[in-house]
Amino acid sequence: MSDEIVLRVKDLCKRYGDKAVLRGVSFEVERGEVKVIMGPSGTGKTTLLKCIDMLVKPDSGKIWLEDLELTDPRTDVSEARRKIGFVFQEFNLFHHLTAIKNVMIGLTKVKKLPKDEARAIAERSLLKVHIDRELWDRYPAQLSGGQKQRVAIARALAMEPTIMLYDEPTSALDPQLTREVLEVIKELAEDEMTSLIVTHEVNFASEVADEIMIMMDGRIVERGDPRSIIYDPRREETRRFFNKIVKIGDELR
Amino acid sequence: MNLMTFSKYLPYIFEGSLWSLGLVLGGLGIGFAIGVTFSLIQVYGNPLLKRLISLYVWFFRGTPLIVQLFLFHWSIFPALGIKSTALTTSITVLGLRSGAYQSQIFRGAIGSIEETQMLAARALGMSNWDAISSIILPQALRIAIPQISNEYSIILKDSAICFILGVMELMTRAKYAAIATGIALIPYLIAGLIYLVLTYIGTMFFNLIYLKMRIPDSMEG
Amino acid sequence: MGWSLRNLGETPKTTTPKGKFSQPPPPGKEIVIVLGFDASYPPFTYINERGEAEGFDIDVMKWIAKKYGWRLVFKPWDWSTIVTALENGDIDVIASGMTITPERASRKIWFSIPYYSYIHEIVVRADDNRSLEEILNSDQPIAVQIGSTAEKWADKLLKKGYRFRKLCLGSYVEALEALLDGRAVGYITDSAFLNPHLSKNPELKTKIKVLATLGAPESYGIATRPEDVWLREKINEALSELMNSPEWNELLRKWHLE
Repeated sequence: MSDEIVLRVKDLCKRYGDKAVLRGVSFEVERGEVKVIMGPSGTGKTTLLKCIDMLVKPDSGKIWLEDLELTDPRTDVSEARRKIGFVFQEFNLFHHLTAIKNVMIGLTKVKKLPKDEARAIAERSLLKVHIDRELWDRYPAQLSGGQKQRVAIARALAMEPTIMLYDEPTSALDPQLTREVLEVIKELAEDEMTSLIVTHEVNFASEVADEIMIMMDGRIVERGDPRSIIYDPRREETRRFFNKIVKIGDELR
Repeated sequence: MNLMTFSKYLPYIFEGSLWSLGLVLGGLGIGFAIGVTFSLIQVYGNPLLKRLISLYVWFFRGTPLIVQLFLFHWSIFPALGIKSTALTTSITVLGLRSGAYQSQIFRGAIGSIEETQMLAARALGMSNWDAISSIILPQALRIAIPQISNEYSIILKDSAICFILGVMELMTRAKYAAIATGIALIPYLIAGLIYLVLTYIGTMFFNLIYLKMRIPDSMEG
Repeated sequence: MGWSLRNLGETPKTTTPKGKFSQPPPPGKEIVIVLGFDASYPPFTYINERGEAEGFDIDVMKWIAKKYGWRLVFKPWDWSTIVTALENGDIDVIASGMTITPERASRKIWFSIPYYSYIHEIVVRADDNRSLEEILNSDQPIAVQIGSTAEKWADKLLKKGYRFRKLCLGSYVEALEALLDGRAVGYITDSAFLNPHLSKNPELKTKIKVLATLGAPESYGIATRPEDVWLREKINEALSELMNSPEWNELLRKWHLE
């Protein structure tokens, strides 16, 4: 793991109406690092990811992607988003395009690559997430949830992003399908893909994360390596949080 | 005058259906161009333009076609110094009118597409325009096809009114044939049948397009 | 501005009808007269199976045009808007069994000399023995063509206090049908339509009868815009010549109008 900082977030704040969702979040992600964010629902984790990708405009704070300051009004945000891969909880594949076309469209429309080059990259991407050739011409409605999410990952991956953001990638999937998606994310992580993952899956987090950050009430309340955070957290809230989710019969290795 | 004489009028009557079709296709085409453009402005455009389009829609949907035909042919076009034949005015007015209706059709279709499609497009780095043209519009157009098919039927029926400006379409010709031959029922029956056939062919065509282009929503696809 | 939208050989209408034919046109230029007519009025104006204009009025105009070397363009037009079309330049002349009335003249159309006269009649079924008073007070429908002078007669009678229902139909033929199939008990028409119609369909003579004439004889004229002085003069000259020639009787005989 190198020391180069890929993503830096400083004092990020966002409120919706009179509700403060992010209250000054700061952290850094190094190249090749896998950071996992966990915490109770509704604590602003999704908003955080969306702010980083500038899909939602933060009220204050700064975000840097490598050397580029995303929060600078002069920055061309569309350009910047190419370098950030976003995987949504609800997959959000384009309904009217087949799986392979879904993966190709970013390459042809945004990166302006010729069709055959885009196709080649798309095929590689899909194979990387274990989506076989016979599924490529299927439409999203004809795929299972797990397949859809893997295609969504392939779609983000094909753009060769600097960092991948995963917003609760398996929350909409049942346990069997969750496994296959987590496998893929794990493989990518082991392949040195810089990743920022929001998830509830404790097992998975413990296997894959270089650092876990706990978010509560719009702030990062604790951070550290997986073993200490999960087994010996410093804060009472963290301990209670893990107790709650571990109770659901998870067995930690 | 009898049926023998009347049968000689058949080519004349059938030719009228070409004119009717011309009116319909012209009107539908112009209406489509206006409808898509205006719907995009209504969903994504600035408030002033939205206001203007609302007024446009309100006018064309709120006044009878026959009034619009008169207004354009005998007030608006002459005032602007435009020389227009009855056919051109008719197609123009049918087009403007259909544009008002189609704008609402497409607006609804665009509105029925989840926000998240746009979100995903932007997350890939697409500009707003690219997202609209390659993600939103293709879906909206497919969704709207059944309603456009309906619009076709409506314009077909409306086209008969254009005889008021002197367009020799199907209905008018049937009427003249009826009078010249003294046979009232049969010419109108034939005209009615031709309208039915034209409606049928049109809706079949749109159905085919819809089946070919629709977004599969399940394994049966 | 002034750009034109032409289409399929149709004649574009003028933007400034004022004075199109008030002066003699420059020599060497082809003179095109657009003739508007209501194709629901045989034998004066109707459309044949080839879609061409035919009828007594059509032949009269053709004769006039031939005399001067004019090119005629025939435009069938709906009766309810035919005067507006003339005013606005879609057509230049109306020759379509149009009765000369002071009311029409005051509507900004001026007529040629009269070329045919007729009288209004009220017609009933042959087996109906009621008197004129009874029919007019029967509270039942009497059929007329909408927008015609027959309709004006119906309005006049209603104003006088007679009690019947005015049944408006699209043409003289349709109104006659209404009488024949019982939808109406009476039918107001004019001899100009009825006589030739009966000549061609003699079996009808046993089914209907003329109950009474209404008012004084009337005349047809060719309508033009008031400012088209030159055109009207020329038409009148030609009409006089035609009506004084033997061809006139031939024409009347051809169309069963003698």
